[in-house]
Order: sequence, then structure tokens, then C-alpha cells
Amino acid sequence: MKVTLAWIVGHLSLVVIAVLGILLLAGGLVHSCEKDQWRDQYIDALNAAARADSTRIVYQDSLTTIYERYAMILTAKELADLELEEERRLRRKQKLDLIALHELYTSARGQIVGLTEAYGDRDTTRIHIAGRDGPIAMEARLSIASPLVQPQASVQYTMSAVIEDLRIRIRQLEDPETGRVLLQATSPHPQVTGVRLEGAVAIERTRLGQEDGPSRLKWLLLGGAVVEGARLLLGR
Amino acid sequence: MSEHRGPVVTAALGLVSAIVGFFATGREAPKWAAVGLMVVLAVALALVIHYYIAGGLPL
Repeated sequence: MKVTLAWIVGHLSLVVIAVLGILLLAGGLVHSCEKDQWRDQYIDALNAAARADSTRIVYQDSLTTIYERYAMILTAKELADLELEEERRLRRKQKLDLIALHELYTSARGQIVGLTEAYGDRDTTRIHIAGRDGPIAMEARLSIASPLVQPQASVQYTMSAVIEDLRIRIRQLEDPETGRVLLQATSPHPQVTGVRLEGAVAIERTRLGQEDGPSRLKWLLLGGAVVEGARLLLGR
Repeated sequence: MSEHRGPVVTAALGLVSAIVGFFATGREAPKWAAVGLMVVLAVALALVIHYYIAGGLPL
């Protein structure tokens, strides 16, 4: 057996084919199993949501955990065997929605010490956030089921807050009857993603301009993202 | 050819494994599966071309 350059190249080629082939087979099988696992978990979550009238969700760690679960559920949903092209198109759009929510989350993360808990029923969700300047409690009335079901997410909040962050587009309205100021905010890229995370914050006029903690509206919007994630987990 | 049957058969099995593994990932295959399969197919194609041009595998 004469070892030449051609001999080495030839044998290397065969080795590459054999090794890569085995790796691909193993990777493909593992990938397939993981996909089935997430789909099962998603279906379980849907079934659990169908059985429960109200659910209490406690977030103990960081928001990252919640967000990752949110992302993974979306992926699992995407992996479901659905044939209609319209549904596939919707899922691609929801990926973009998720990116927008992630941007929102990332930009607001530095302001948040921790999200303690969120609970509620079908119509109202209460979220408690440990902010840098103290606890924030909010009550959200949601006009959406979940971004998976409805392309446009519209969230309305009622809460006392002071706004000073301008990355989110903010519109200020005044109610002459009540003397209260209504601040409306939308998420950063609604024109790109189609996401409309709107927070309507009614505040007392006397509190407007006070340094009552930065970016509270962002927290609200973030809360909306979390609520959406929670509802998604619940299958609503 | 017969004297190199062992490595050739192993590589052929690797080729089949690569194809099976790629399709096992599902309809929306991940990028790593596509790249891996492309590499395997490219190497196999090069060997086949060499076989027909030079009259044998470079072994």
C-alpha cells in the first residue's frame, strides 16, 4: 500500500462522509425527539388552560426565564404540523412580534429589580413588579387572547405612573371632565412587526413631571409582554 | 475496487445516514442539518466524478 497524497485525500473523503453522516443521523433523531417533546408540553398547557378558570402564575427568578419559555412555546407551536400556508405566514410574522417584545424587554430590563408575581383571571391580570424605586403594582385589562390567536395585540392599562422615557412613542391627552392626563404609548417598531402594545396610563395631573421613577410605562409595556407570555403559556 | 470494499461501504452507510438524519429533523430542517448534508453530498460527488474520470477511487 503506497501512501500518496491522493490516497490520503481519498481516505479523508470517506472518513468525512462516514463521520458526518453518523453525526447527522444522531442530530436529526435528537432534534426530532425534542420537537415532539415541546409539542406535547404545549398541548398539555392548552389542556390545562381549558380546565382552569383562573390561574396563578408566580415568577420567582428573572424575566429571562419567562421570556425563554415564551420563545420556546412559540417555537413549539411553530413546529406543529399545520398545513395551511396562511397559518405558516402568521407564524413567521409572530417571530417578528417576538423580536419586538424582546427588544422591549431588553431595553426595560435595567430598570427592573425583579418581577415578583402575576396572577389573574380571564379579564384582569395583576402584576407586581419590584422596581428600582420600590414596588409597582399594576392591573391590566387585556383586550387580547394571545398574539398567536390575534395578530394585533392591544393592551390597556390603568395605573398611576410618571413617564419620562421617550424611546417608546408617547402621546399625551387630557380629559377635561376628570382633569386627568392620559398617556398613550406604543412599542418601538409597530410598523415593522405589526405589534401594537399600547399602554394607556391615567395619572393625576399633579403628579405629572415628578421624578417618580424612570420608565414606568416601559414596565407597563413589559408587563404586557409578560402577560401575553403568561396567557400564551395558558393557551388563552 | 473490491480491496477497498470496507471503507467504501462505510462511507456509503454514512451517506445514507446523512440523508436519513436530514429528513428526520422535519419539514423545517435546521441550518446545521442542511450544511452537513451539503458537505457530505459534495464530497461524495467529488469521489464519484473522480471515479469516472480516473477510472477508480483515489485509494
